[in-house]
Amino acid sequence: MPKNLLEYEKDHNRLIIALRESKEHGSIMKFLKDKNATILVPHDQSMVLPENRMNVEFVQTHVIHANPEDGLHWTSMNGVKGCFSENYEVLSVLSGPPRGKDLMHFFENESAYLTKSDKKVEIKRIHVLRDSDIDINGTTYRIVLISEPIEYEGCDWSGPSLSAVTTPSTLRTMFSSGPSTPVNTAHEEDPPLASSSSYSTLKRSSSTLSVSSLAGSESDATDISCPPINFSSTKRPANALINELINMHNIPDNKLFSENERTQDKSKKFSFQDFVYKMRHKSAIGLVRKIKKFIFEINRDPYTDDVPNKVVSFLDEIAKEMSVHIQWKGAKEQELDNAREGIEKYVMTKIYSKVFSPTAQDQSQDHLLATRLSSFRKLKPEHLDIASELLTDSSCNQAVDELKKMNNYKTPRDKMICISNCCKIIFNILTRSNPKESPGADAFLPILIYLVMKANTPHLHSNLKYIMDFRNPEKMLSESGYFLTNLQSSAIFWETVDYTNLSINKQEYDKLINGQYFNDDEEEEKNLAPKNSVDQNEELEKATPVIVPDNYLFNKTIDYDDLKKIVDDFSHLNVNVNVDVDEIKIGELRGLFEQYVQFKKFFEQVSRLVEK
Amino acid sequence: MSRHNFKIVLLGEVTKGRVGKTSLTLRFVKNSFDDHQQSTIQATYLQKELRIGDKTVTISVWDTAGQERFHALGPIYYRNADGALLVYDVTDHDTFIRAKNWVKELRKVVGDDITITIAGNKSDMKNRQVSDEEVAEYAKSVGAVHLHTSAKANRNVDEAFLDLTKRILEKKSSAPSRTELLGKQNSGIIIDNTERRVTRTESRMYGKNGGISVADEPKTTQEQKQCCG
Repeated sequence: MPKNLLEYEKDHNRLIIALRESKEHGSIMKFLKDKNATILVPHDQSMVLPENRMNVEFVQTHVIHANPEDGLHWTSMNGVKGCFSENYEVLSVLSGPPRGKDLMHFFENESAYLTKSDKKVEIKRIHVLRDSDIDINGTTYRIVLISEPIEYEGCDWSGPSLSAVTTPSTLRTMFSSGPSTPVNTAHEEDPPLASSSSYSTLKRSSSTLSVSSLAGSESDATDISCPPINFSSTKRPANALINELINMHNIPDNKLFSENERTQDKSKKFSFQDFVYKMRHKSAIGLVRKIKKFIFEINRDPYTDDVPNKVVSFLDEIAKEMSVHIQWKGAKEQELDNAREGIEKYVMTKIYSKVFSPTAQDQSQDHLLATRLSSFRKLKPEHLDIASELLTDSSCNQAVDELKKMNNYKTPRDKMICISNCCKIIFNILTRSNPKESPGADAFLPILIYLVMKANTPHLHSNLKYIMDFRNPEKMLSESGYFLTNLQSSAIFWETVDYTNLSINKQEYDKLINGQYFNDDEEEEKNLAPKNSVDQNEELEKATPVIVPDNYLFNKTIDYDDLKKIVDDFSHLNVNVNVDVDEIKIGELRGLFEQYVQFKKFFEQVSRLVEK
Repeated sequence: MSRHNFKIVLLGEVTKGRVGKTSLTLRFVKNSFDDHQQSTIQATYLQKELRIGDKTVTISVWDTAGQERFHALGPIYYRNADGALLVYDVTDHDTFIRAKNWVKELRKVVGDDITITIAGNKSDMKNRQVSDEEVAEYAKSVGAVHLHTSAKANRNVDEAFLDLTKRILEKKSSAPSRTELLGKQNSGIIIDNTERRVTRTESRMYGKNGGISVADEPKTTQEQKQCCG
């Protein structure tokens, strides 16, 4: 946890702000003062609040009074009972509030307190983060910062009752059906793409949002950050970047930081949250502005070949500034590393659509590679001298999924994690088949190559290029850098392979590779259709309805592959049409015009196809 | 104290059998041979921290697939490599030929910046097909060091990696400190006319044997350890 956590919470925690500013909590303040009570403050990010206000019940649950006989046991203002552990590290909620009693007089009854002899049924355990004093309107109170809100059966800030009113829990539901991760190769994070696309849903649902969200908001005035959960965002020093950071990150559940056990640098956990906490501090405002400005410029200006260099030097520069910044004063190497990762994650997520597969050439290379990989799909493991029983292992599918999934992630780091996961699954397969021998590259590479062909990851070329261009160069010497290199060489293998590189004779090769179009049965015909990535489908949906109705196209005898190629070529067009015209800024006009030109080209190409 | 991070690629032919590069790396990293270990780790990428004098050096050892069909992929792995360990099988002359081709390729692709060690593995075996003179002469001619290793008998394994790392380190530090180097000329460091620094280890090895085989002379390796340490 960052050192400034407590200070941060004192300034920004919505519960504290509510107590400080809201008149409706007068009786609670009186209780606090009279009873010398303590406020349990769930740290701000953990609070998901019903509608946009601080519920009285919620506040009362978090104002506690310790048993005068036994400091560990406490009862909340509305009668929730609980106790601290001996070392004050954990608190347990033992029972919910009594119903139908006059709560203001609850403490006058001796049975209000638990004692050591009472029977305890634990409802929930919560971590104590900090213990401190706070000054609220001239009086000092004790606050205990805790990891999550106190909940009990039937309280209206937990469980499914929330889903009707708050977006975050809706999102959470969405994630529960999201991609699962292999057992022994857990992702360190939830899918960033998923989270940010959900976030864009969130954005769209709010009428005040502008098209270029962050990019357009160089000053703090443009508050694009107020999804409904921030009930007091108008009062808080709203910081668009930071709120976005948190939304990007916080919506998926707590699996966020579960660490991949097999990662070599186990000690080097990446915590985006740590980074976010630091960036939220007032002193970091200069950095935040600089970052926003940079993102804005990258998204505004046309893409050129020196953009990757520019971005990487900028990230390094920011990381350098952070290392001497007061927020990172005395930070260890690992914290600074964390900061570099954090800034990379943030910036890359924001400029992804601009810099991923940025040129027509990249798109055509993607297409070529995908077509080529698809043409080899009938090859068998034996053709690469892989013992075929190795690939009957069900975890092969997992490895393939990891490779495919790479395309769904937005940060170079996350993409690399997918690659590493795939490789580690391969090692598991090899080790299982021969536990005595540690697999070397001789055994490993052929399998990876084969699975790369099977996975046919959408935009494989662009994904590789993107990682090479934007990943922190310092990380390239690591294990994941090694795996990346293997993936690259696998792609190059397929680009250059012919029968001389395979255990196959020319006739059979010709039959399998070149003759396939004549021999396909129906099922294989289906496989032949280029594999659609999720995002391509999204783009398709976004792009086509505006131009031509789908069914019109498909009722005619149009070459699907040709159409697919056109759609693929334009799949980078990422247009948010839910824009308030009045909010378009002059700086965005160039980009919009470029998109218009692209759409015109798209339309022309589709028209040509229809006429043909 | 300065920190260094070096990338070392591991090359070795796979044809009839294996030259044993995996065993070699595993032996080095875990100091245990395959017969006894029960291991789950993979041997394709290994990282180890070494102390050389007052310097901490981290080396990352990158294994490459040795099959003929993957040879064209080599340059992707050589990129930014500081050193290469070429492993051949002393009982199989073909693997030595292949190692020679690799040297050529490395020089072509990476240039003289890469430090090369050639390891004749399986030196515990009797039926050697590659003569000491042949390899010694060859290694000398390409500015590489040759050692006889045996992963099985744990002979010269640490030495091979350690010596390679030292030579990389010397090569790296020679550039910025040429003046210092010149000052030390008396103490036995030779600078040849192409300005390539011949290390003390190397020069002694060249001097002593006329070749560079250190495999059967554990004494030499002992001294080697001390000299830069």
